[in-house]
Amino acid sequence: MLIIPIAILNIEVEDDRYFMEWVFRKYHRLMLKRAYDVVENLSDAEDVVGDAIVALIPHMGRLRKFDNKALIAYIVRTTVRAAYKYKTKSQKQALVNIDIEDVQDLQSDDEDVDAGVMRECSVESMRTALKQLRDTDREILLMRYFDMLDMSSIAEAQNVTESTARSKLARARKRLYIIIKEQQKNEYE
Amino acid sequence: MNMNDKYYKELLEQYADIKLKLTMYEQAMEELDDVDVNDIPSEIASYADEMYPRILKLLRHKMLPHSIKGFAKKHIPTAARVAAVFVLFIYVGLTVAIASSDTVRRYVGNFLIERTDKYSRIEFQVYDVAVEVPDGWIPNYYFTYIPEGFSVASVISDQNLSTVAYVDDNQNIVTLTTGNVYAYSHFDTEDCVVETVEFGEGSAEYAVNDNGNKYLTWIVGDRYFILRTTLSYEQLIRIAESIKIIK
Repeated sequence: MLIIPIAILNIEVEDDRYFMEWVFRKYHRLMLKRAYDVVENLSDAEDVVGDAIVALIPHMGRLRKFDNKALIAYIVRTTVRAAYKYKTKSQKQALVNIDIEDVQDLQSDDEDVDAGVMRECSVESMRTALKQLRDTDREILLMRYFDMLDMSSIAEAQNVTESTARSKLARARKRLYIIIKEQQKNEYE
Repeated sequence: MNMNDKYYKELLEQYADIKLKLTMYEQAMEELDDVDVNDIPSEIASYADEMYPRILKLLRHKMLPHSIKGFAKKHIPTAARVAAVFVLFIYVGLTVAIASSDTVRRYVGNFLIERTDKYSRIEFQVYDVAVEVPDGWIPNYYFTYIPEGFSVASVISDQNLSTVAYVDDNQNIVTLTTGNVYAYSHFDTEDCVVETVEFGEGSAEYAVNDNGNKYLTWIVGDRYFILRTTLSYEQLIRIAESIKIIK
Protein backbone atom coordinates (compact mmCIF):
# COMPACT_ATOMS: atom_id res chain seq x y z
CA MET A 1 0.00 0.00 0.00
CA LEU A 2 3.01 2.25 0.48
CA ILE A 3 3.35 2.34 -3.28
CA ILE A 4 0.88 5.25 -3.46
CA PRO A 5 2.73 7.73 -1.21
CA ILE A 6 6.08 6.60 -2.66
CA ALA A 7 4.85 7.15 -6.21
CA ILE A 8 3.30 10.52 -5.44
CA LEU A 9 6.18 11.80 -3.34
CA ASN A 10 8.60 10.89 -6.10
CA ILE A 11 6.93 13.31 -8.50
CA GLU A 12 9.47 16.07 -8.91
CA VAL A 13 7.30 19.08 -9.67
CA GLU A 14 5.39 20.30 -6.64
CA ASP A 15 2.27 21.28 -8.58
CA ASP A 16 2.12 17.83 -10.17
CA ARG A 17 2.53 16.23 -6.76
CA TYR A 18 -0.38 18.20 -5.36
CA PHE A 19 -2.46 17.39 -8.44
CA MET A 20 -1.93 13.64 -8.04
CA GLU A 21 -2.67 13.86 -4.34
CA TRP A 22 -5.90 15.65 -5.23
CA VAL A 23 -6.78 12.98 -7.81
CA PHE A 24 -6.14 10.26 -5.27
CA ARG A 25 -8.08 11.99 -2.50
CA LYS A 26 -11.05 12.74 -4.72
CA TYR A 27 -11.32 9.48 -6.60
CA HIS A 28 -9.87 6.77 -4.36
CA ARG A 29 -13.31 5.39 -3.49
CA LEU A 30 -14.32 5.21 -7.13
CA MET A 31 -11.01 3.58 -8.05
CA LEU A 32 -11.36 1.02 -5.28
CA LYS A 33 -14.90 0.23 -6.39
CA ARG A 34 -13.93 -0.24 -10.05
CA ALA A 35 -10.93 -2.37 -9.08
CA TYR A 36 -13.10 -4.46 -6.77
CA ASP A 37 -15.60 -5.06 -9.59
CA VAL A 38 -12.84 -6.86 -11.49
CA VAL A 39 -10.68 -8.57 -8.87
CA GLU A 40 -13.54 -9.21 -6.39
CA ASN A 41 -11.30 -8.92 -3.36
CA LEU A 42 -10.75 -5.74 -1.33
CA SER A 43 -7.13 -6.43 -0.53
CA ASP A 44 -6.30 -7.07 -4.20
CA ALA A 45 -8.37 -4.04 -5.19
CA GLU A 46 -6.21 -1.96 -2.89
CA ASP A 47 -3.07 -3.13 -4.75
CA VAL A 48 -4.76 -2.36 -8.06
CA VAL A 49 -5.45 1.23 -6.95
CA GLY A 50 -1.72 1.58 -6.25
CA ASP A 51 -0.88 0.23 -9.71
CA ALA A 52 -3.43 2.57 -11.28
CA ILE A 53 -1.96 5.62 -9.54
CA VAL A 54 1.48 4.64 -10.82
CA ALA A 55 0.03 4.22 -14.32
CA LEU A 56 -1.66 7.63 -14.17
CA ILE A 57 1.43 9.59 -13.18
CA PRO A 58 3.16 9.64 -16.60
CA HIS A 59 -0.07 11.00 -18.13
CA MET A 60 -0.50 13.94 -15.77
CA GLY A 61 0.01 16.47 -18.54
CA ARG A 62 -3.08 15.16 -20.34
CA LEU A 63 -5.10 14.63 -17.18
CA ARG A 64 -4.73 18.28 -16.26
CA LYS A 65 -6.21 19.32 -19.60
CA PHE A 66 -9.27 17.10 -19.20
CA ASP A 67 -12.59 18.36 -17.92
CA ASN A 68 -14.13 16.47 -15.00
CA LYS A 69 -15.95 13.87 -17.08
CA ALA A 70 -12.99 13.03 -19.27
CA LEU A 71 -10.78 12.86 -16.19
CA ILE A 72 -13.13 10.38 -14.54
CA ALA A 73 -13.33 8.35 -17.76
CA TYR A 74 -9.55 8.17 -17.92
CA ILE A 75 -9.19 7.25 -14.24
CA VAL A 76 -11.88 4.57 -14.49
CA ARG A 77 -10.33 3.08 -17.63
CA THR A 78 -6.83 3.09 -16.13
CA THR A 79 -8.09 1.42 -12.95
CA VAL A 80 -10.04 -1.24 -14.79
CA ARG A 81 -7.06 -1.90 -17.04
CA ALA A 82 -4.78 -2.20 -14.01
CA ALA A 83 -7.29 -4.58 -12.43
CA TYR A 84 -7.43 -6.85 -15.47
CA LYS A 85 -3.65 -6.81 -15.68
CA TYR A 86 -3.46 -7.74 -12.00
CA LYS A 87 -5.95 -10.52 -12.48
CA THR A 88 -4.21 -11.85 -15.58
CA LYS A 89 -0.85 -11.78 -13.83
CA SER A 90 -2.19 -13.79 -10.97
CA GLN A 91 -3.57 -16.32 -13.41
CA LYS A 92 -0.11 -16.48 -15.00
CA GLN A 93 -1.24 -16.50 -18.60
CA ALA A 94 1.43 -17.40 -21.09
CA LEU A 95 2.74 -14.80 -23.48
CA VAL A 96 1.75 -15.34 -27.08
CA ASN A 97 4.38 -14.59 -29.65
CA ILE A 98 3.86 -13.75 -33.26
CA ASP A 99 6.24 -13.54 -36.16
CA ILE A 100 7.33 -9.92 -36.64
CA GLU A 101 7.19 -10.25 -40.45
CA ASP A 102 3.51 -10.99 -40.22
CA VAL A 103 3.00 -7.65 -38.47
CA GLN A 104 5.08 -5.78 -41.01
CA ASP A 105 2.98 -7.28 -43.83
CA LEU A 106 -0.16 -6.06 -42.18
CA GLN A 107 1.22 -2.56 -41.75
CA SER A 108 2.70 -2.07 -45.18
CA ASP A 109 -0.35 -2.36 -47.48
CA ASP A 110 -3.18 -1.73 -45.11
CA GLU A 111 -2.14 1.71 -44.01
CA ASP A 112 -2.65 3.03 -47.53
CA VAL A 113 -6.10 1.51 -47.60
CA ASP A 114 -6.81 2.95 -44.13
CA ALA A 115 -5.73 6.43 -45.09
CA GLY A 116 -7.81 6.39 -48.25
CA VAL A 117 -10.93 5.33 -46.39
CA MET A 118 -10.26 7.73 -43.55
CA ARG A 119 -10.09 10.68 -45.90
CA GLU A 120 -13.73 10.23 -46.77
CA CYS A 121 -15.42 8.98 -43.62
CA SER A 122 -16.80 11.10 -40.80
CA VAL A 123 -16.25 10.69 -37.06
CA GLU A 124 -19.92 9.83 -36.81
CA SER A 125 -19.60 6.94 -39.25
CA MET A 126 -16.54 5.76 -37.34
CA ARG A 127 -18.61 5.77 -34.15
CA THR A 128 -21.25 3.66 -35.87
CA ALA A 129 -18.63 1.26 -37.19
CA LEU A 130 -17.01 1.05 -33.77
CA LYS A 131 -20.22 -0.34 -32.31
CA GLN A 132 -19.97 -3.29 -34.67
CA LEU A 133 -16.42 -4.11 -33.68
CA ARG A 134 -15.56 -6.87 -31.24
CA ASP A 135 -14.97 -5.75 -27.66
CA THR A 136 -11.31 -6.76 -27.80
CA ASP A 137 -10.71 -4.68 -30.94
CA ARG A 138 -12.55 -1.69 -29.49
CA GLU A 139 -10.52 -1.95 -26.30
CA ILE A 140 -7.16 -1.93 -28.03
CA LEU A 141 -8.21 1.08 -30.13
CA LEU A 142 -9.28 2.90 -26.96
CA MET A 143 -5.96 2.07 -25.33
CA ARG A 144 -4.04 3.50 -28.26
CA TYR A 145 -6.16 6.52 -29.15
CA PHE A 146 -7.84 7.57 -25.90
CA ASP A 147 -5.50 6.26 -23.21
CA MET A 148 -2.60 7.19 -25.52
CA LEU A 149 -0.56 4.20 -24.43
CA ASP A 150 2.57 3.32 -26.36
CA MET A 151 2.91 -0.16 -27.80
CA SER A 152 4.95 -1.53 -24.90
CA SER A 153 2.30 -0.37 -22.40
CA ILE A 154 -0.49 -1.90 -24.48
CA ALA A 155 1.49 -5.12 -24.66
CA GLU A 156 1.98 -5.06 -20.91
CA ALA A 157 -1.69 -4.36 -20.27
CA GLN A 158 -2.73 -7.23 -22.53
CA ASN A 159 -0.01 -9.52 -21.27
CA VAL A 160 1.31 -10.17 -24.77
CA THR A 161 4.53 -9.33 -26.56
CA GLU A 162 4.95 -5.94 -28.18
CA SER A 163 4.84 -7.41 -31.67
CA THR A 164 1.60 -9.20 -30.86
CA ALA A 165 0.10 -5.98 -29.54
CA ARG A 166 1.15 -4.18 -32.71
CA SER A 167 -0.45 -6.90 -34.76
CA LYS A 168 -3.66 -6.77 -32.73
CA LEU A 169 -3.88 -3.00 -33.16
CA ALA A 170 -3.30 -3.21 -36.91
CA ARG A 171 -5.99 -5.86 -37.20
CA ALA A 172 -8.44 -3.88 -35.12
CA ARG A 173 -7.90 -0.87 -37.36
CA LYS A 174 -8.27 -3.01 -40.45
CA ARG A 175 -11.56 -4.47 -39.21
CA LEU A 176 -12.81 -0.98 -38.41
CA TYR A 177 -12.00 0.23 -41.92
CA ILE A 178 -13.63 -2.79 -43.51
CA ILE A 179 -16.85 -1.95 -41.65
CA ILE A 180 -16.58 1.70 -42.66
CA LYS A 181 -16.01 0.71 -46.28
CA GLU A 182 -19.09 -1.49 -46.21
CA GLN A 183 -21.07 1.36 -44.71
CA GLN A 184 -19.88 3.68 -47.49
CA LYS A 185 -20.69 1.07 -50.09
CA ASN A 186 -24.22 0.66 -48.72
CA GLU A 187 -24.71 4.44 -48.74
CA TYR A 188 -23.73 4.65 -52.42
CA GLU A 189 -26.11 1.86 -53.31
CA MET B 1 -3.31 13.49 -56.11
CA ASN B 2 -0.03 11.61 -55.83
CA MET B 3 -0.64 8.79 -53.34
CA ASN B 4 3.04 7.84 -53.52
CA ASP B 5 4.11 11.18 -52.16
CA LYS B 6 5.64 10.35 -48.78
CA TYR B 7 4.59 13.64 -47.20
CA TYR B 8 1.02 13.26 -48.44
CA LYS B 9 0.90 9.77 -46.95
CA GLU B 10 2.16 11.11 -43.65
CA LEU B 11 -0.54 13.78 -43.63
CA LEU B 12 -3.23 11.22 -44.35
CA GLU B 13 -1.92 9.03 -41.56
CA GLN B 14 -1.97 11.95 -39.12
CA TYR B 15 -5.50 12.80 -40.27
CA ALA B 16 -6.55 9.21 -39.63
CA ASP B 17 -4.96 9.32 -36.17
CA ILE B 18 -6.80 12.49 -35.24
CA LYS B 19 -10.13 11.09 -36.40
CA LEU B 20 -9.49 7.93 -34.42
CA LYS B 21 -8.59 9.97 -31.33
CA LEU B 22 -11.80 11.98 -31.65
CA THR B 23 -13.84 8.83 -32.13
CA MET B 24 -12.27 7.09 -29.15
CA TYR B 25 -12.72 10.17 -26.97
CA GLU B 26 -16.44 10.20 -27.74
CA GLN B 27 -16.58 6.44 -27.20
CA ALA B 28 -14.90 6.73 -23.78
CA MET B 29 -17.34 9.47 -22.77
CA GLU B 30 -20.25 7.31 -23.87
CA GLU B 31 -18.96 4.34 -21.90
CA LEU B 32 -18.71 6.52 -18.81
CA ASP B 33 -22.42 7.28 -19.09
CA ASP B 34 -23.03 3.65 -18.15
CA VAL B 35 -20.99 4.04 -14.96
CA ASP B 36 -22.60 5.47 -11.86
CA VAL B 37 -19.59 7.16 -10.28
CA ASN B 38 -21.49 7.87 -7.06
CA ASP B 39 -22.63 4.31 -6.50
CA ILE B 40 -20.05 3.14 -3.96
CA PRO B 41 -21.30 0.29 -1.73
CA SER B 42 -20.93 1.02 1.97
CA GLU B 43 -18.56 -1.92 2.44
CA ILE B 44 -16.10 -0.45 -0.06
CA ALA B 45 -16.58 3.12 1.12
CA SER B 46 -15.82 2.23 4.72
CA TYR B 47 -12.79 0.15 3.68
CA ALA B 48 -11.48 3.10 1.67
CA ASP B 49 -12.17 5.58 4.45
CA GLU B 50 -10.31 3.42 6.93
CA MET B 51 -7.31 2.76 4.73
CA TYR B 52 -6.66 6.01 2.90
CA PRO B 53 -6.44 8.65 5.65
CA ARG B 54 -3.19 6.99 6.73
CA ILE B 55 -1.79 7.42 3.24
CA LEU B 56 -2.96 11.00 3.07
CA LYS B 57 -1.31 11.66 6.41
CA LEU B 58 1.94 10.20 5.11
CA LEU B 59 1.67 12.37 2.03
CA ARG B 60 0.95 15.45 4.08
CA HIS B 61 3.97 14.97 6.26
CA LYS B 62 6.04 13.91 3.28
CA MET B 63 7.63 11.16 5.36
CA LEU B 64 7.62 7.45 4.96
CA PRO B 65 8.32 4.95 7.75
CA HIS B 66 10.79 2.97 5.64
CA SER B 67 12.66 6.06 4.59
CA ILE B 68 12.92 7.27 8.17
CA LYS B 69 14.27 3.89 9.22
CA GLY B 70 16.73 3.83 6.32
CA PHE B 71 17.78 7.37 6.97
CA ALA B 72 18.36 6.72 10.66
CA LYS B 73 20.41 3.58 10.01
CA LYS B 74 22.59 5.30 7.49
CA HIS B 75 23.13 8.68 9.06
CA ILE B 76 22.95 8.37 12.84
CA PRO B 77 26.53 7.01 13.30
CA THR B 78 27.91 9.80 11.16
CA ALA B 79 25.76 12.36 12.91
CA ALA B 80 27.07 11.22 16.29
CA ARG B 81 30.66 11.89 15.22
CA VAL B 82 29.79 15.21 13.71
CA ALA B 83 27.87 16.21 16.83
CA ALA B 84 31.10 16.74 18.78
CA VAL B 85 32.32 19.23 16.21
CA PHE B 86 28.89 20.78 16.02
CA VAL B 87 29.09 21.91 19.63
CA LEU B 88 31.69 24.44 18.53
CA PHE B 89 29.07 26.06 16.40
CA ILE B 90 26.49 26.27 19.17
CA TYR B 91 25.97 29.98 18.72
CA VAL B 92 25.16 29.53 15.07
CA GLY B 93 22.85 26.67 15.99
CA LEU B 94 21.13 28.74 18.62
CA THR B 95 20.49 31.51 16.14
CA VAL B 96 18.97 29.08 13.67
CA ALA B 97 16.86 27.51 16.40
CA ILE B 98 15.47 30.88 17.42
CA ALA B 99 14.82 31.90 13.83
CA SER B 100 12.87 28.74 13.16
CA SER B 101 10.82 28.76 16.34
CA ASP B 102 7.09 29.35 16.09
CA THR B 103 7.22 32.47 18.24
CA VAL B 104 9.73 34.17 16.03
CA ARG B 105 8.05 33.07 12.83
CA ARG B 106 4.80 34.59 13.87
CA TYR B 107 6.38 37.98 13.40
CA VAL B 108 6.61 39.14 9.85
CA GLY B 109 9.31 41.61 9.07
CA ASN B 110 10.39 43.93 6.36
CA PHE B 111 14.08 44.12 5.78
CA LEU B 112 15.04 47.81 5.78
CA ILE B 113 18.30 49.35 4.68
CA GLU B 114 18.78 53.00 5.65
CA ARG B 115 21.74 54.56 3.88
CA THR B 116 23.56 57.56 5.40
CA ASP B 117 26.78 59.37 4.39
CA LYS B 118 28.90 57.33 6.76
CA TYR B 119 27.15 54.02 7.11
CA SER B 120 24.15 51.91 6.15
CA ARG B 121 21.81 50.75 8.89
CA ILE B 122 20.02 47.44 8.44
CA GLU B 123 16.99 46.44 10.51
CA PHE B 124 13.71 44.53 10.50
CA GLN B 125 10.48 46.45 10.72
CA VAL B 126 8.22 44.17 12.73
CA TYR B 127 4.47 44.41 12.28
CA ASP B 128 2.56 45.68 15.27
CA VAL B 129 0.52 42.64 16.37
CA ALA B 130 1.46 39.01 16.03
CA VAL B 131 -1.40 36.63 15.38
CA GLU B 132 -1.28 33.04 16.54
CA VAL B 133 -1.37 30.72 13.52
CA PRO B 134 -3.84 27.97 14.44
CA ASP B 135 -2.82 24.32 14.38
CA GLY B 136 -3.56 22.62 11.10
CA TRP B 137 -3.31 25.76 8.94
CA ILE B 138 -1.36 24.71 5.83
CA PRO B 139 -1.01 27.71 3.45
CA ASN B 140 2.00 29.98 3.74
CA TYR B 141 -0.19 33.06 4.16
CA TYR B 142 -1.87 34.30 7.31
CA PHE B 143 -3.11 37.42 9.03
CA THR B 144 -0.66 39.53 10.96
CA TYR B 145 -3.53 41.61 12.26
CA ILE B 146 -6.89 40.67 13.73
CA PRO B 147 -8.95 43.21 15.72
CA GLU B 148 -9.06 42.72 19.47
CA GLY B 149 -11.69 40.43 20.93
CA PHE B 150 -11.70 37.95 18.06
CA SER B 151 -10.90 34.29 18.54
CA VAL B 152 -10.67 31.33 16.15
CA ALA B 153 -14.00 29.57 15.66
CA SER B 154 -12.98 27.01 13.04
CA VAL B 155 -10.11 25.96 10.78
CA ILE B 156 -10.44 23.76 7.72
CA SER B 157 -7.26 23.40 5.77
CA ASP B 158 -5.76 21.16 3.13
CA GLN B 159 -3.16 21.55 0.40
CA ASN B 160 -5.62 23.15 -2.00
CA LEU B 161 -8.28 25.00 -0.05
CA SER B 162 -8.23 26.47 3.45
CA THR B 163 -10.69 28.48 5.52
CA VAL B 164 -10.32 30.05 8.95
CA ALA B 165 -13.15 31.81 10.80
CA TYR B 166 -12.88 34.29 13.68
CA VAL B 167 -15.76 35.60 15.82
CA ASP B 168 -16.05 38.09 18.66
CA ASP B 169 -18.58 38.52 21.49
CA ASN B 170 -20.74 40.83 19.33
CA GLN B 171 -21.17 38.09 16.71
CA ASN B 172 -18.91 39.91 14.28
CA ILE B 173 -17.08 37.55 11.99
CA VAL B 174 -13.90 37.51 9.95
CA THR B 175 -13.34 34.58 7.60
CA LEU B 176 -10.50 34.01 5.22
CA THR B 177 -10.68 31.46 2.41
CA THR B 178 -7.63 30.84 0.29
CA GLY B 179 -7.14 28.34 -2.47
CA ASN B 180 -4.75 27.40 -5.23
CA VAL B 181 -5.46 26.63 -8.88
CA TYR B 182 -7.08 23.29 -8.02
CA ALA B 183 -9.60 24.67 -5.57
CA TYR B 184 -13.02 26.09 -6.30
CA SER B 185 -14.90 28.46 -4.01
CA HIS B 186 -17.92 30.62 -4.31
CA PHE B 187 -19.71 33.29 -2.36
CA ASP B 188 -23.20 34.66 -2.68
CA THR B 189 -23.30 37.93 -4.61
CA GLU B 190 -27.09 38.10 -4.75
CA ASP B 191 -28.26 41.62 -3.78
CA CYS B 192 -24.62 42.69 -3.51
CA VAL B 193 -23.08 45.87 -4.80
CA VAL B 194 -19.85 44.80 -6.46
CA GLU B 195 -17.01 47.11 -7.43
CA THR B 196 -13.33 46.92 -8.24
CA VAL B 197 -11.10 48.63 -5.70
CA GLU B 198 -7.38 49.36 -5.59
CA PHE B 199 -5.65 46.94 -3.30
CA GLY B 200 -1.95 46.41 -2.68
CA GLU B 201 -0.14 46.78 -5.97
CA GLY B 202 -3.16 45.72 -7.99
CA SER B 203 -6.90 45.52 -7.60
CA ALA B 204 -9.51 43.46 -5.78
CA GLU B 205 -13.24 42.84 -6.09
CA TYR B 206 -15.24 44.32 -3.25
CA ALA B 207 -18.84 43.25 -2.61
CA VAL B 208 -21.27 44.31 0.11
CA ASN B 209 -24.82 43.11 0.71
CA ASP B 210 -27.83 44.37 2.71
CA ASN B 211 -26.90 42.25 5.71
CA GLY B 212 -23.65 44.11 6.16
CA ASN B 213 -21.48 41.26 4.90
CA LYS B 214 -18.46 42.60 3.07
CA TYR B 215 -16.30 40.50 0.77
CA LEU B 216 -12.91 41.24 -0.70
CA THR B 217 -11.43 38.85 -3.27
CA TRP B 218 -8.01 39.12 -4.83
CA ILE B 219 -5.24 37.02 -6.32
CA VAL B 220 -1.57 36.72 -5.47
CA GLY B 221 0.35 34.56 -7.98
CA ASP B 222 -1.53 31.27 -8.31
CA ARG B 223 -3.44 31.73 -5.06
CA TYR B 224 -6.74 33.49 -4.49
CA PHE B 225 -8.12 34.97 -1.30
CA ILE B 226 -11.68 35.68 -0.15
CA LEU B 227 -11.98 37.77 2.99
CA ARG B 228 -15.42 38.20 4.52
CA THR B 229 -16.36 40.32 7.51
CA THR B 230 -19.22 42.19 9.12
CA LEU B 231 -16.80 44.90 10.28
CA SER B 232 -16.27 48.21 8.47
CA TYR B 233 -14.70 48.58 5.03
CA GLU B 234 -11.60 50.17 6.61
CA GLN B 235 -11.17 47.22 8.95
CA LEU B 236 -11.69 44.83 6.04
CA ILE B 237 -8.88 46.49 4.09
CA ARG B 238 -6.61 46.63 7.12
CA ILE B 239 -7.09 42.93 7.82
CA ALA B 240 -6.61 42.06 4.14
CA GLU B 241 -3.41 44.10 3.91
CA SER B 242 -2.07 42.33 6.98
CA ILE B 243 -2.05 38.95 5.22
CA LYS B 244 1.59 38.04 4.69
CA ILE B 245 3.80 35.08 3.98
CA ILE B 246 4.43 33.43 7.32
CA LYS B 247 7.00 30.73 6.56
